[in-house]
Amino acid sequence: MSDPKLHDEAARVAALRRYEILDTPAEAPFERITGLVKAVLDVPIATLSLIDSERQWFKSRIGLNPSETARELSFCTHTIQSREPLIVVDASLDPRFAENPFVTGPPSIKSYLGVPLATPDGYNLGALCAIDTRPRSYSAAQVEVLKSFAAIAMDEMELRRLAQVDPLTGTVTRRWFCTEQDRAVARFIRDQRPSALVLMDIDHFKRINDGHGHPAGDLVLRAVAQSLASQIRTNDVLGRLGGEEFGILLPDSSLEAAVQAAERFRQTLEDMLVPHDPPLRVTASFGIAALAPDCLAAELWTKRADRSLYAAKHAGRNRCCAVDPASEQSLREATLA
Amino acid sequence: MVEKHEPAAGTSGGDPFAGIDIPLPLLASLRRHREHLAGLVVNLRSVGLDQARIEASVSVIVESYKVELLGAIKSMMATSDV
Repeated sequence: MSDPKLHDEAARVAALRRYEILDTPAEAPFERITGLVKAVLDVPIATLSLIDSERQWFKSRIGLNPSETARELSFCTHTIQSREPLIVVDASLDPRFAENPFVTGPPSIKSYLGVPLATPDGYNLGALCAIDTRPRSYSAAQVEVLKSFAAIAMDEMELRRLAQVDPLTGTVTRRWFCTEQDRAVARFIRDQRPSALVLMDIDHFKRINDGHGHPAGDLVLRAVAQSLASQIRTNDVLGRLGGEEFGILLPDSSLEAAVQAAERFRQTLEDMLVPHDPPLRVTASFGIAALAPDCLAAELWTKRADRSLYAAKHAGRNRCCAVDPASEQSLREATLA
Repeated sequence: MVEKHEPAAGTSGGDPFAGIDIPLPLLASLRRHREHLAGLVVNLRSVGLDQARIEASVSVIVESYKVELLGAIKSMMATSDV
């Protein structure tokens, strides 16, 4: 039977990226699951493996040293081609794996049982694996146990993904946005890659709630989020940071580029008509700050952008302001509406 | 919104998720998790694990998930309540 999601590699990798799990540190929930796999199935090696476009990366591994391998060396890249578990009784006798360096050399894999890690919408992101250094088969009951552990591992991953999303607007939550800021700071320290932060606050939002009711306020929040989401780049991050406050993180952007982007956002919102009876118009104020050596912490960076936002509000709203990195005291008004 | 649930089938103790306000977007995820826990208990029994080891294994998983669930709820509330 045709199963297009098994063969849509681009969509599968995009689904994996949505979980934001690659290259994250080891975490207790996944360590516990591989620990249980090892104990219950009595194997020396247990892994939770995710298949990226060119590599296999282990979120958790017991009894195996490398944190990642080339994809073509991965047993799991075969596992994710199917909805069913992959069982290899003796890899040295299997033409797919007999010459694999992990079979012919350390850790001398002989048997493998892998269950696909499938998202609720049907993409196989990787596999939960029980691996032995001796040939062995697995009973149907043991396979079912590994399927249960794989489903529970996906529950954990899915919960984390859901926790990233603000249910009203579909943007990421404040907590996740802060995590993304921390990553941008780490990139800046490691590779001197610039990033800019834009804070945005809808002007006089309370008037909308008071004058038209909270459902109208929710409509506006969703419309603003959609407008911003439609204008940002793939790697930009849009988050709802509070009631009517949003953040836009612009990786690999200078202050000047961020000011230009913010001005586009501002203009689009000013021109937007929110469907309602009567139709609603909104404006917003923007504060921008680039990541700089003297604000290498998400909190300091946010404070700097917040001062710019305050300046935009103080100057009359519906405008963009940016902190001049050369002078902390000097606020440069980028655009007057 | 408070969802009341039964404990995972075959395990003792009260509902580990009782009394937690579960936001709507997380309800389906929690339901799936409870089904998976129930399936795990049955499958662990099928491979011959004794009740004490089953209880220990499931409680480890339940506690992990509960911590993550509370974190997810806190994260969602932090945005929508400000």
